Order: sequence, then C-alpha cells, then structure tokens
Amino acid sequence: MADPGKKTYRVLVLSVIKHAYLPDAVAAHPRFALVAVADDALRPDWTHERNQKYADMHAIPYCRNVEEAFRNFDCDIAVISSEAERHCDLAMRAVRAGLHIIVDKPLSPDVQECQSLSELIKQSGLKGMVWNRNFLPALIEARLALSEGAIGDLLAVHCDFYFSKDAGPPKETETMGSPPIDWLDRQLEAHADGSDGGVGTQPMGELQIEGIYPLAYINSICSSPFERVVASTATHFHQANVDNQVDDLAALSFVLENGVIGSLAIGRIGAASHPDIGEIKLHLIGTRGALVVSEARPEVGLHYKDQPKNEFKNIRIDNDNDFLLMDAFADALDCGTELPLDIETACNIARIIDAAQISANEGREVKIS
Amino acid sequence: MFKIEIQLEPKRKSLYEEAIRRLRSIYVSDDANTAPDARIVGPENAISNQGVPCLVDQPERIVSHTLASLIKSDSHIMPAHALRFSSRVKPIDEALRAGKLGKPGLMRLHYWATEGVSLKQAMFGPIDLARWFFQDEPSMRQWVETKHSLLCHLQFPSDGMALMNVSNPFEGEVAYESVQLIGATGAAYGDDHHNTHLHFRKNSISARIQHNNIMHGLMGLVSEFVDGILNDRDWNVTLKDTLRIHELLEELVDG
Repeated sequence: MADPGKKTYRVLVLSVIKHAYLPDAVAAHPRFALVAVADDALRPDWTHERNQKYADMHAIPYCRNVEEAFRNFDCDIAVISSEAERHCDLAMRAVRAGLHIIVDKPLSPDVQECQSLSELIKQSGLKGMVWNRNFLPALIEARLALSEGAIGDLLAVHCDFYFSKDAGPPKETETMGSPPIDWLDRQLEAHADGSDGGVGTQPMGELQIEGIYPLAYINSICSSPFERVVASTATHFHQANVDNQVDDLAALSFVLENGVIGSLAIGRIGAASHPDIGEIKLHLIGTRGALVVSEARPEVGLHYKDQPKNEFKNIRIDNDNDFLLMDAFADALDCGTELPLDIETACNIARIIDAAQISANEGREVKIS
Repeated sequence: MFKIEIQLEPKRKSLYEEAIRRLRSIYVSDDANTAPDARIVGPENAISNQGVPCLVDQPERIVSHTLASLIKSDSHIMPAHALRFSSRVKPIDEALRAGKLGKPGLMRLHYWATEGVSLKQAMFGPIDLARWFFQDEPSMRQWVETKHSLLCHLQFPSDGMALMNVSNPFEGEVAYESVQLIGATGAAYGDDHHNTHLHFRKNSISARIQHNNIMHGLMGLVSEFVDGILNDRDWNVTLKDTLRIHELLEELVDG
C-alpha cells in the first residue's frame, strides 16, 4: 500500500514492444502508477498491437502520439521499453518534456547517442536510470562483504555471465542456399518466451544486449572507471548471429583506473548447456581473502515427474531487485540520492562495450576514452 | 609386472607410490640390482635419465635449455602435465572428445594458489589445458600481470577463446579451482564452489572445499605413461608441448 504521506509518481510507458519486465516492475511498486502508453504514430503495426495489448492489460489508454502524451497525461516519469536503437531518442524527447526517465537495457547500441543523452540529463537536473540487476540478493551480499572488509582491498574481479538460452536454429543447421535469418523476424519470434532483448532492426550481439548487466555489477563493486580492455568475440552458437554478424560469445580482460584487474566471459550458450538460466558468477579477490558468489542464489530446487524440459529446476527466491530499484528511484526523486545505474554510468558502460568490440575486431588492446 | 623406479623427494614419491598401489600390474621397484622398466623423476633429473622411459614430474620446473636438449636427443620422456589428468578435468575432456559439447568455444579457469606457489608456474597447467582443448596454438595472446595475479587471455584460430586467472593474494593453505568449457552444444563446469561443505562453529561459518583427489590424476598420468610404453605408441603429451608452454610463458610474462 502506498505511503499516504508521499507522492505517487505518474508514469508514462513509452513503447512497450519487448519483454515487459520493466514497466511491470514499475507498476508493482506502490509509489508509482502507470497512466498511459504512448508511441509514435508511424511505428509498424506489430508495435501498435503490442502497445495496445499492454495498455489494455493495465486498463490505461494508448496514445499514438508521444508529444501529445507528454502534454495530456501530466506524468512525472517516462519508462522506455522500445527497441534499443530507439531508447535514446525517446528518452531525450521525454527529458526535453521535463520527465524523469527509466530506460530498459542496453542504453543504446550507439555510444554517441548515449553521450548526448547523458549530457542532456545532466543539464536538465532530472533523474535517469537504466534497468539493471544490481539489487539481486547475491550482489547485495557481495557488496556487503566488501564494505565490511571481508576480503580487504579489492585486487581483481572476474565475472561469468552465461545465459543458457537458444536463439533460433543452431549455427550451421540452416540448409545451404537458404536466405539469411532476418534479425527483426527472429526477435519478433523470440517475444513468445521473453528472450527478445535484442528486438529492433539493428542486429546486436550478446555483449551489446546483455553486457551492461555484468559490467554494472563490476561498476557497483569496484567504483572505478575502466582504463583499458582486450576482447575476443565469436559467433559460436546461433545461426541468426552468424547471418547478422553479431557475437554470441565474448571474453574480455581489462584493467581499471584504480589498478584492479578483471575479466568477463559472456555468452548466449544454448538451452542445453545449463539446467537453469545459466552459470552466472563473481570471483572477487582481495588483499585478505576472496569471494565466490553465485548470482542465482538463494534458490530452491524443484524436480518432479513429467517436468517440462525447459522449466528451470532451481527457483530463485528472496529476489527484491525490482522493488529495490524502484525504491532507489523513488528516493532519488524524493531526496536526490544516487541511483544504482544512472545514465552517465550506463553511458560509460556503453563506451566499454564499444571499446571491446573495436578490440575484438582489430585484435589489440583498446584504451577507454 | 611392470617395474617403476621413483626418483623423487619423499613427499612427491609417496604420492606416486599411493597412486601406483591402486593400479594393476605395475609396482614400484626399490631394488637397485634390478633394472626398472621405467622411471618417474623430478625436473632436475630429467637429463640424467636417458635410456629408460621417464615420466618427469612437475615439468613446469624444467628449464628451457634443458627441454631443448632433451627434445634434440630424442629422449623417451613423458612430461607429467598433471592438470590434463585431474579428476576435475577428465570428465570435461572425455565429454569434449566424445562430441557431447560440440566445438569448444570458451575455456574459463580460475585458480587461487596456496601460498608460496609461483604464479608463472601455476599458469603452466591452464595454458596446457587451453592448447589441449582447442588442439591448436593461440593466435592472439594477451596478458595482465599484477603482484598477486596473472590474467591470460588467448584466442585460437577456430575463434575459440580461453580466459584464465591465477592468483595467490592471501595467506591461505587451501587452493580454489574452477574450470569451465563452453561448447557449441553443451558445457561442462568443474568448480570447487559447487563441491563445498559448510562448517558451522560458534559465531562463525566457513566453507570446506571437497578437493579433487590428487591420486586419481596421478593414476591417470601413470596409466597413460605405462600404456604408451607397453603398446609402443606415442603418449598424448610430449616435451614439445612442454617447451611450447614455456615459450608462451616467457613471451607473455617475461616478454
């Protein structure tokens, strides 16, 4: 129940055309109320269908004119869950209209757009957050242990981040001569199981789609900018990635400005490769000890006769990530506190990913500007 | 019966004796009057044992010019690349060879050594394992070295990659190891984190790692050594592998 002494913030959903976990999380928090869905009139029909469906589910109107929605619904916040390539455009329009923003990950595949948004929001004094998983129980525990000095000063951070999901047909199973898989068609198909984070006309690799999650972990743990990175990438698993020349497996090694070293292994490794969502771990090494943290825990094992093959066998529990992120956003609006992943930090992460891609393409170490 | 003489310092010798005790048709000979069928020697004795097939323990400690001499003299020596045979790696390797994992894509390894271990020597096994899994030489090699850590990043011509971290930052007596191999159709995870027990005490709780039994790795090593001799076949690891890893380590760490 909402605190009667505190304001309930009015939220405009700007395009909700992929997995809806972001606007759903906003709607679930008692300090926020979804007021309307809006998108541009000239979007394709499937976009309007999905927007309308979401609006109907929440019994709110769908407005096919973004600027009109800014004027008519008296909202405080815009929540953006469009194609990643449209995130920054919609976010900048919302900021110019005086709205705080919450943007789904990744901030944008275009670093320059990220930079422009970062500068604009800084000038505006408004708040902006990119969706993240920094408040998963295991991440909270890891930061708590570090802050208590459990391992002394941090020397190294290594992250494994594998999603054991499929992405259409496996590599090299398409018959010779068949047309390449269209990226957008594949993503639209993936909507059924919620694995359409890369939806859009611009193909994105796994590092670009999901890399912000582990890099945000590392940022929250290390609190230092990256200095340099070396990366290797491959299209190892999925034909859609091969046909669209975007990675599905990547390895990064890096050095932070504070001298901490680290690495990241990330990939969409196929559903057969892990019993649950994937092996996601942090290895933290300090001057007086070390920590191995499993991102999935705590969890409860569940096994039964005729269990569907694709059902997770371990169920995550005690996950307050969505609630705590929105709590942090409410606090930022109420009192000006810091956000767990603000636009500037997300922009810096976009720069790391961009540098990693240059490194992988050119086979050399790249300094982060 | 196959007779093996062991010329190692007492601690290492007893480990091999215990491993050989579990193998059929092989025994340890201490009889100076009987010629052994083979020897297990330390790195310092590799060059003086030519003539009898030798398994050289801890080949990461053989100096490079000795290796070159041994290769040149066509010595009958099998270097004991122990990590390949460890009980954690064996199921991964077998699954890979059986095609269960598909084409290897990424090898990930974390190793936190106990106090006093040389990081460069500790990286010997991981680099060997990467070359072994990908069956090739790395085409891209990157390295980050700090006082307590080595981070090695390799890429292979197949687009396979290896990301390996070896550290010894704190005063500990317990090592930690995690090896993962991500293939195109499957993945294998050998991780001490998974093999951990909890130890509750007054006001504290700690983890107890169920470490792999070193005996099983040594049994695999000795079996491969003896089987190669008895069947007159090449061993699955050669001194050229040892030399190549030394060269890579020198290029990366010392270069």
